[in-house]
Parts: sequence; structure tokens; C-alpha cells
Amino acid sequence: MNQENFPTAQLSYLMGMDDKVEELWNRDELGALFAHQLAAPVVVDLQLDVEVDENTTFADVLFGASPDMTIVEAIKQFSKNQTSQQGEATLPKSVAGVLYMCSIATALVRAQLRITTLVDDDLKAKMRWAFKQSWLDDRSRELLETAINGMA
Amino acid sequence: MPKGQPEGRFPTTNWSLIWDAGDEHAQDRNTAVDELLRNYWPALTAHLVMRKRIKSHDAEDLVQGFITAKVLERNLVGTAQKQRGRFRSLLLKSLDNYVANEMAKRSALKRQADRAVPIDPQEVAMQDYSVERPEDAFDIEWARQLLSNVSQRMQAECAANSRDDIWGVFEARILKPATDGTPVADYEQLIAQFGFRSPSQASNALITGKRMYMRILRGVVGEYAANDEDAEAEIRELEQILARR
Repeated sequence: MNQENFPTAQLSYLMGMDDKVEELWNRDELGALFAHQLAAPVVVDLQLDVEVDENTTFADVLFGASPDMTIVEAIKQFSKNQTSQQGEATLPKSVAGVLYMCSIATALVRAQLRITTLVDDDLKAKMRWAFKQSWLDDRSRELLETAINGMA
Repeated sequence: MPKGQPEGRFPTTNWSLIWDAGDEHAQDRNTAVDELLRNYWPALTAHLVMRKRIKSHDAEDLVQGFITAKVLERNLVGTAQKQRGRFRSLLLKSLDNYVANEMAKRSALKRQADRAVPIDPQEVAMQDYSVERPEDAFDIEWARQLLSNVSQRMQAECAANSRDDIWGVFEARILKPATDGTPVADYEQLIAQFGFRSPSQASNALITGKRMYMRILRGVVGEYAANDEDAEAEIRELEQILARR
């Protein structure tokens, strides 16, 4: 590396940089992060007490016809932890928030099960927020829309 | 502990290095002198060229003489430890004193010839040091050398721990864009290149890289700072010097 070419303003950034997850990734990368999360095997991120195929992905659980509710609950807890862990989170809050709402929507739509204490109005408002994220994929948007309409 | 080194809070790598360099009986004296020169030469030379307007080849001679006469033979390190002052400031002040004395000697001996004469602004502009404020030349070169050392140490540490992914993602995402102007590697590129299985793995690698970089930076600064507080102040000061350009 040619140190004589170091631009000093960027060097200043290097010396002062923070390590918060919100500053790791750009807004236009949130869609890629969420897509990667959906494609990730659940065993990579979740501590599960149930047996699960090591290739089962988050998408398999969230969009499957009859998902294991233990795993759906684990996804909800994982994403909730991500939004509440100050300084230790590894997902941007908006991505974790959408994942959280998708897990609740999955339980509502696939098993008619309510896994949140939020009242309908609050739940719908949060799902609408998730639905409106510009980077959201079609399958997730459809899941959220179905859940919102089911509460109407 | 090298010969003559006092007990205390400075038994760190660079202090040991400097002690070894000043100790003619030390086994690694030549290595220590080489590393010492490599670390401080650019900053000291930049200061003489940009601030003192001394020709670069003459500045290099003066720096070599300064390091030999002051840092090694007169134990500048010992002085720094006694004063508990900033090593960077002490080094600069000592260099200025040394150069002033050398200039006075030359003048008295009427041995001006072409050595150490002030040069015109056009000639200064042709030097390699791209600083807008000559008074910052020393500090900027110091910071550049320091950050270069930090990068080298981090890469070596990652390799030693078989965590090339941490170095790779840090280099592609942060270091190269900051230092070379290389475009930032986007998320999908990083996933494809390093095979992270989930966003958490990717984020963890990048967070670990950033923390490792800052830890090594603090360590490198700590090798010449008096204490943790002094090290933090030194980092903030160098950051501000680099930011105001």
C-alpha cells in the first residue's frame, strides 16, 4: 500500500470510526441483507431445541405451508434480540424489524396463532411499516398484506 | 529488559526498540535502528522540507544525524520518559533544536556550500509531500506512517489466526476505499467473495475487523504514549489534524 497516497480525510475517518451495525451497511444494501437472511440456514443464526434439517432456510420457515411454530418463535426472538441489543446487534434495525413482523405474520397466516401481545391497531401499523420498506421482496410483502387483511 | 531500561510503565515494543537501538551491546541493534528510521524518517523529513524549507536530500542527512546524535546517543527516550510528555512533540522539538544547532555550526564554519540553504517556494512545491499547511507536515506524515503500521500488523494478526476473511472484508469495505479511493465492495460482492452464510456472519466479520483495527491503533499509539489517556488524546489530535485538511 502506498502510504504517500493516503487521502488524509479518509485517514481521519479510519481513526474515528465507530463499530455500530447501523453504520456498517448502506441503505441501498438492506434488500440484499434481507434476501441473504431469508436464504440463510436457520441453524446458522438460531439456537434451536428441535431437530431441523441443516439446509432449512428462514424463507422455508416463513413462507412454508405449515412451518414449525417453535422455529417461527425462534425467528421472532432472534429478530427481537437484534433490535434490543445495543452495540451487539449484527442486523440493521430495519431489517431485524421486518423479520420480526414477518415471523408474527407467518404465525397468524399459517397457524392462526398470535405470538405477540400487540393489539390489532398497533400490530397493523407495524406491519404496514414493514410492508412499505422499499427494499422488501414480493413474497414478504404478500405475507404481510395477507396478515394485515386477516385482522381487518 | 534491555540494558539500562528503567522499571516502569513503558516496557512496550517501541520503547524497547529504541532502547535496543541506543544500546550498542543489544543483539538486535541494527534491526532496531532500521525500524526506528523507517518509522520516524518520513515525518521528520517532511517537517524539515515543508516547515523549515530545507532541501530534501539535506533534510534526510539532518534526520539521519538527528536520530544518531539525539535519539540514540543522547537517549532522547530516557528524557521523554522522565518528562512524561508527548513523545511526538518532544521528538519534533528536539529535531528543531538539533537543526538550529547544525545550521549555526555550519554558518560559523562558513561551510555553506550548497548544504541546508533555504530554497524557493517553487522548489518546495516540487517535493513529494502533499500538505497544504506546512506546519502540519510532520503530524500528517506521522499519522500516515502510523496507520500504515496498523494495517500491516492487522493483516499479519489475521493471517496468524487464519482469519483472512476478517482482513479481507475490512480491507475491501473500509481500508482500500479510505486509502486508495477504491470503490467500496458492496454487500453482495463480500458474500460472494468470502462465503458468509448469513448477514450476522458478515456483520460480525466487519465489526471484528473494525474493533481489531482500533485495538491495534491504540496499541501502536500506546507504544509511545505515556498512558491510556495520553494515547486517546494522541489519536483524537491526529484525527483532527487529518480532518482539517
